[in-house]
Amino acid sequence: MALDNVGNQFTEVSVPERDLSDHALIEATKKGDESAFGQIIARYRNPITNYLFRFLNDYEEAVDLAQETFVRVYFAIDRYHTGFAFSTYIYRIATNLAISELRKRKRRSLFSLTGLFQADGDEGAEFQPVDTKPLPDRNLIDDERERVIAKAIAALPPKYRLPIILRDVEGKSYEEIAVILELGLGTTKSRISRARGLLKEKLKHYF
Amino acid sequence: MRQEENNRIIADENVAKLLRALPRVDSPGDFEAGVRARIARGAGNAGSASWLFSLRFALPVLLVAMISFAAVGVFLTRPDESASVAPAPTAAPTAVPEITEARPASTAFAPSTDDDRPPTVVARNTAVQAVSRTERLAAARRDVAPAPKGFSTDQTVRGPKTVIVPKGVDPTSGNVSVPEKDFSTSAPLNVRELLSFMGIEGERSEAGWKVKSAAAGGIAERSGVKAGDVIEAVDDRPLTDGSPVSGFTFKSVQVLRNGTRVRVQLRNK
Repeated sequence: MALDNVGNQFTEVSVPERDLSDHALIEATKKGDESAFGQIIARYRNPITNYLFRFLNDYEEAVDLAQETFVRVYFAIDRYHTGFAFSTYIYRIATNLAISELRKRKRRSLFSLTGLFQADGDEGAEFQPVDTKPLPDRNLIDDERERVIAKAIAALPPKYRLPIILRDVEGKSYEEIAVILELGLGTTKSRISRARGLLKEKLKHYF
Repeated sequence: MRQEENNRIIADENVAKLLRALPRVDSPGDFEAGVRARIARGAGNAGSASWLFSLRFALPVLLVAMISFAAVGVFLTRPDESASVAPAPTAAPTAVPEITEARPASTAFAPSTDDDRPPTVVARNTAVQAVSRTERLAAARRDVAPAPKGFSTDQTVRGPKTVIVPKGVDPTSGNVSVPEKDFSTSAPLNVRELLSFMGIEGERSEAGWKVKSAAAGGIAERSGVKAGDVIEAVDDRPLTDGSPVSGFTFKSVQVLRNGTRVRVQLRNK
């Protein structure tokens, strides 16, 4: 009898959602647990937003695409297989959305007369050299440095920009980056190295 | 070499440090609410979105299909070559006196001076041309849709410009040419040929040109010209030996019959 009571106590114990793995949250979402999906959002909203912001260099656009990323995950959750990490899966969706957005921008600038007279903001953006004059305020210096670094990243071609953001900003491993970008491991390393080489020329005044 | 490699690694590490030092950007506070709202809208609009998506492909496909059907329709309704030469008349062609089809003797052809086009020269009365023309006429009457007035079946089916030369004339000799002008009124004729076109075999007598015989079924015979008549004038133009008469079509002849002058109207029927 006592043993039975002990057994019942064990069955009533549940793991908090914040401690569940991504896959467990996905399974719970598939069964209609909306709070599980809320936990997924809470877990990835900032990394995805930050990743998209560094890629697009546009906060509003980054938030918009990050929200769209979660919408895509929600509607495709039945097709998600646990064969690889969920973080890889969601980064891949975000990457595809970001690339589509770049293409739309390119089309818009192509068909827009005003776009002919505006700076591209993408890979064709003119890189502004660093103003080496000393500034009195430390915050201003930091802001200026961040702005220059962000612009230098945004000036990289997308094929170099994506892997270096995933590697040096998001801290992903080479293997994860290769899966997210659907590239070979050697190609991934090569592109990251090339991106660093390009940035080194532009940011040499900061180190 | 190793120093360069070390420098490169150090530089790469410096770049990585700069990027890692970038402040992280957080999502706004209403991020999840925005996602939920989009999900709610997406669930409601899923049907229309997919419908619009299919429309993007359906419209071009429909357009291409319509153009294809139109092209096939035009191809199938295109008239065949024989009928597409020119429109045909609504009624059967009027009987044209043979005299207007014939050509006079070689002396009747005036050389053309204002036409450099090389005419197609064919021999008269060749079986090939006769059959071909008959077939073309029959095809035109049978197949061609009625056309507005003003067209001639004969002109329609005649094809390229042809020159009919009398027997015995070599069409390739180079002396045969087609006068560009209306030869029905300008070509000079001698009297014997003129009479022969009407179906009259004439002979020169003291009284004038006498009808030796009128060919049965000919214009003269149908119009009432009889053997023994003396033809004095054609269309009020008196016949005198050696004075050529122009033209191929005539309306009347004036004959002296048993001492009486009679005007005979030439009839086609």
